[in-house]
Amino acid sequence: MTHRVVLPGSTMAERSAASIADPEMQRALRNLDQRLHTARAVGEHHADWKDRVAAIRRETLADLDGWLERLQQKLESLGVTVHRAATPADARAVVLEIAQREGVRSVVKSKSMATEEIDLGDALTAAGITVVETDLGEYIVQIADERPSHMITPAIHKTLEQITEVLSREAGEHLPVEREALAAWARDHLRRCFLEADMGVTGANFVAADTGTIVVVTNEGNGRFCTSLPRIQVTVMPVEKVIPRFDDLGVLLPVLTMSATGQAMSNYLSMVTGPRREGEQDGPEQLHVIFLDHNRTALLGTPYEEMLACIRCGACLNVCPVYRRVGGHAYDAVYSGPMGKILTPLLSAGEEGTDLPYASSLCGACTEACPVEIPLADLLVRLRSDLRTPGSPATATAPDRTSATTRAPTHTRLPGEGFAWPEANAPLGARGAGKRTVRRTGFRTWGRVWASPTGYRASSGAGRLLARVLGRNGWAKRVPGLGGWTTSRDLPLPAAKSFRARWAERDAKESGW
Amino acid sequence: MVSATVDTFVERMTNNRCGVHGPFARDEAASAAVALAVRHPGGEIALPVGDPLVDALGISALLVDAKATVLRSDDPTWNERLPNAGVGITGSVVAVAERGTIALSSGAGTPRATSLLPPVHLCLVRVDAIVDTFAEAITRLAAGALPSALIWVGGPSRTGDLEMKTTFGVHGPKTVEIVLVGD
Repeated sequence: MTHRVVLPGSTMAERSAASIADPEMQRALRNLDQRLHTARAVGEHHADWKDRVAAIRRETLADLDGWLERLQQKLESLGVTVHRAATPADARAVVLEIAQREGVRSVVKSKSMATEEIDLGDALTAAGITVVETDLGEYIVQIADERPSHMITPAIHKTLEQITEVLSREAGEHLPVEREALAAWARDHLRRCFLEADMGVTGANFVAADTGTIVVVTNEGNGRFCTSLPRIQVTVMPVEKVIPRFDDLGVLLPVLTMSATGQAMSNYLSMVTGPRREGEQDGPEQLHVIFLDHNRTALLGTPYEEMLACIRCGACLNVCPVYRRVGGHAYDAVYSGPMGKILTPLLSAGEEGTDLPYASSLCGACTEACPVEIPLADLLVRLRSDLRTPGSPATATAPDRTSATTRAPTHTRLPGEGFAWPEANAPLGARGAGKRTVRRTGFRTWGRVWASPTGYRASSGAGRLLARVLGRNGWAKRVPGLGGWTTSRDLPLPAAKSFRARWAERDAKESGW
Repeated sequence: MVSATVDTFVERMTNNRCGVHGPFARDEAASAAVALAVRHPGGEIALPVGDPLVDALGISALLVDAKATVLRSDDPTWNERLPNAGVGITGSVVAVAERGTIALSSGAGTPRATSLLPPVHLCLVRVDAIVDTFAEAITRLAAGALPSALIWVGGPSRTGDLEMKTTFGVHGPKTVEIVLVGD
């Protein structure tokens, strides 16, 4: 897989530092402020909708195989060709095979995380096929040779000046630093691509099992072009995108768009039911749908099944204090932000992004924002532990669903392997078993001491004494024995007098009245 | 009398940067639509031949009377000429007041690109096809047979990809004119 690194560093910590040190990146990321409160609108105006949407998603996951089976039958009855792909490599092979068989020379893509996940663009390019991303943000990212940094707004990390530079390079002329002029240039340029393309590739926001309807949501209209003009349409659909009924869209779509951008409804919805029919002048003659597994069904029945309820609205990114500061590229993964921190290690069965779950203060803003009620913060904590546990649900693949040629046998990570937060900031034992035992014994002893009032009193007295030595103005910059915890944070020191001492003094005073 | 539902719809669509005209009685609606269509210069007026509302209003004959250059969807060169058309006229199947969106049905005689390629989209909406909520519209559509493409349009093409500031006219029509058709 091509690995476009746009921030230097082999760990999220290093890349985050690079992002924070980049003033242009920081200026661009401040635009996220506009989306800080969008996720709240659903809860505020439609109190019961979160529960309804959450219930529909859980109903789907409770019988995912069954719904997929029903969907496949329905799609086939409409004349759609259904392909099942266990791995990204399988999915790429399916698209390539169709493209080569049909003599496809140019492909237009609408914005889709699934096609990012399978790295489809590069695979087609390598096969000599022209691929053009047609969502404006995604197009900017493509010609800059980067990857999207936000699942709804792919070029959020770029300032208008930087975007102008990228588009000017492609245009071969100096474009003005004006939004309307840039949009107009892109419109003309991409319009030609749409008219020439043989194949349109899309993702899917939802696919209804009862009607076989593929739903693609956009604001620009690129999804409409990809499903209207090219003679072949290929839709890459991660398996969890299935929904039981067309009627469910009545609540799912408003919740998705309100959570994603705060719009009452996205500007364009394309609901495609089968290929072009008899007598129609446009629409795809051939429609292919690829069910992409990529280790998803291995999560069913585990606590991580919850992640399959995700509708990719981006609300958790917009509220995350880590994402808002460092941006998507610091994650060096297709999916970033809170959901990406969880999904990246899971989709790779513990192979990739194992340091991502640590990039969280566990503040819970993501959990609160999630319109489908995924307990993101809880899953982050669980994942930290499970990624260190051989054979846990976070590290297991489903062998029967996995193509042997593309995935090595399940590799059980050594505890802490791949985790590289700087210095000794490794509270969970990144430096080997010996240190872990010491830490475990330490916590156990601490527990025992604080269980007795005498022990507690003695230790807090000792703490205050130590604080006087180490601290200044109520904070300690560095505390030996706490490992890396004080390398990036200051430790608040205990007050000069304990609560117990002050309580005793107050009692003494009051009894004197 | 205009209902609260229609009022909300007009307000929403206006906020979405659509031009909203009417509601008109049938005869007036047809002439208003044609007047709007010929007002936008540059290219032919693309007209679907299989749309019940366009048909019922007699738009085709009125365009001929107005000496407009019309591209009919049954023309064998439709697909080649549509990219250069100036206006695309469509009917609609249902519209949602609360969310400000209109559903267009594609099929034989109603090509899906009519409302996509020309820079101006002129959309006829029957007042009695406007419902309050999106869920109502979906339930209504689910009750019938779904077309090969059901397209929902909120307004002119827009993007938030340039520093999250709304910019219009990236891919689809830059102008959307809505003509409300009463009884």
